[in-house]
Amino acid sequence: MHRCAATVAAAVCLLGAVTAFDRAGSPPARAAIADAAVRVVRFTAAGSAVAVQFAGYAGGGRTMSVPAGTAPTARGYAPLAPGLYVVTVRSALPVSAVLTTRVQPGAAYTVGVLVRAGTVQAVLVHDDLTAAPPGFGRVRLVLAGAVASRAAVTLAAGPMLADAAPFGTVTGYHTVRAGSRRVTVTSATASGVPRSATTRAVAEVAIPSGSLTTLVVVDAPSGGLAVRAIIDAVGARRSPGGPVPAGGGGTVAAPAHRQSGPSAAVMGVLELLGVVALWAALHAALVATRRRRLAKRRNAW
Amino acid sequence: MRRLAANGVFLAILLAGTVAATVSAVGYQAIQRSVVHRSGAAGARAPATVALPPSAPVRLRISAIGVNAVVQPLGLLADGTLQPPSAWQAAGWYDGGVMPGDLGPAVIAGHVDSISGPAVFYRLRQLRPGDHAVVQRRDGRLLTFVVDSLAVYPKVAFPTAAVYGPTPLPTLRLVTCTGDFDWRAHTYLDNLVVSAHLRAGPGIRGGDS
Repeated sequence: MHRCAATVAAAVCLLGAVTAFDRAGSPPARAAIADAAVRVVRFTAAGSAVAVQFAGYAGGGRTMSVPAGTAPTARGYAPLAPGLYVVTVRSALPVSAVLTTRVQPGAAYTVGVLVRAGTVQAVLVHDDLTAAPPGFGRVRLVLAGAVASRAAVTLAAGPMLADAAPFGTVTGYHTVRAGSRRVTVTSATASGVPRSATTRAVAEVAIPSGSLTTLVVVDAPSGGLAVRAIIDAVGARRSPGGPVPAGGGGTVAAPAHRQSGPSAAVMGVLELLGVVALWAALHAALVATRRRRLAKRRNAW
Repeated sequence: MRRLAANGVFLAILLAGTVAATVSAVGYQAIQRSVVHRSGAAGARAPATVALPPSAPVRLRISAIGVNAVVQPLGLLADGTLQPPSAWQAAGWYDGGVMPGDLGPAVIAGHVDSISGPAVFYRLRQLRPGDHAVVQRRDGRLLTFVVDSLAVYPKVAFPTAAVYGPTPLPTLRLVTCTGDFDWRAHTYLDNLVVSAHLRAGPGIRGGDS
């Protein structure tokens, strides 16, 4: 029984030593639950004021608005707790749009409002915050120009952002080299871009390194099309590699064995030997006590 | 009877070993969890958009944890890692990144301790969502950031994209060391990252409620 108990105790201590070693080598990753970020953008050039309400199923929410104007207007992002929301878009026009969406932690969303022929169209798009490689930015396109039912949009030296895409199209992000880039917009039909396609707009846009940009094709005041750039998110132009070294260890109680250098595995063995030694001492004491009592009994006889 | 007493002694040893191992593991996890918090309610915070002229940060004040430190610019070391602040009690702003108040993540690092005692960010883990961090710029403007969350990341899996990557809000990230200390490598095993968003203020346009 004694041997069995000692073996189990030693196993427990050995397990503790191994656990300590593993803990030091790979602490568990834990991430905070972050809010999402939401914003409202009126993509079309002209339009009345728009109010967008995020009403949470579990309560809470937020109301955001963009004023009336003659140019695309982006309201800055605002934090919003993750959860399920009903998104209601209201404007001076008689039509309201209602969307339902689940807002994910740490994600960003844009409610895009497009007005065409007196009709309000609302789209809820996920703004993918994936970082671009150093020297690159990420670009997406929104077609909000009503004068061309379809359009093709290319960046100089590629890529093609849209090919005969209809009004209201919102593309995903493309990774492109940062810097000043020329954007060309041509009219198109449902079957593609005709050879005689009319160039409707040419613009120079700045693509900052590490940024996310939305290019919006809108109706120009002169009657054609124009391109507007909206910065969605910005990151470091160049991210440092690896973690941040920021501590000297002066507030950590240094165990004597760690100061002298042995590894955690060695310490585990030493701890195990300590337990065995303790067991041996206790066992010896018990045996000695038993012998003394037996000796007393013999003497008494 | 004596045998029963001896068995009791060994069972006590076994129990003590088990309790020690359990307390050790649970205690570590409790420490890790203690620095991770859910963000506050979104409706209680005012969003902000900014259009400020560039001006480098020169001082950081966090009254909740008694920080009032100069901010020095930090660059990159030859191996591409972030240069640590040169003084234990100074904070350092990564000047290859985003300027505090601009759209994106501005990163300010500080030592948790020196080789002999606490340093500028020793109490960073005591911050809670809703606490304020005030960055003073060279032009004298004060920017107030509101703490959203704290997160602990193992250095071996440091999430560079999550810390330095694009954000849609003017964001402040305060970074220091935490976790166990590796005495052989003489470094902490984890990084603590505090994220905060810019509160609307003078010269800063706020959003709707």
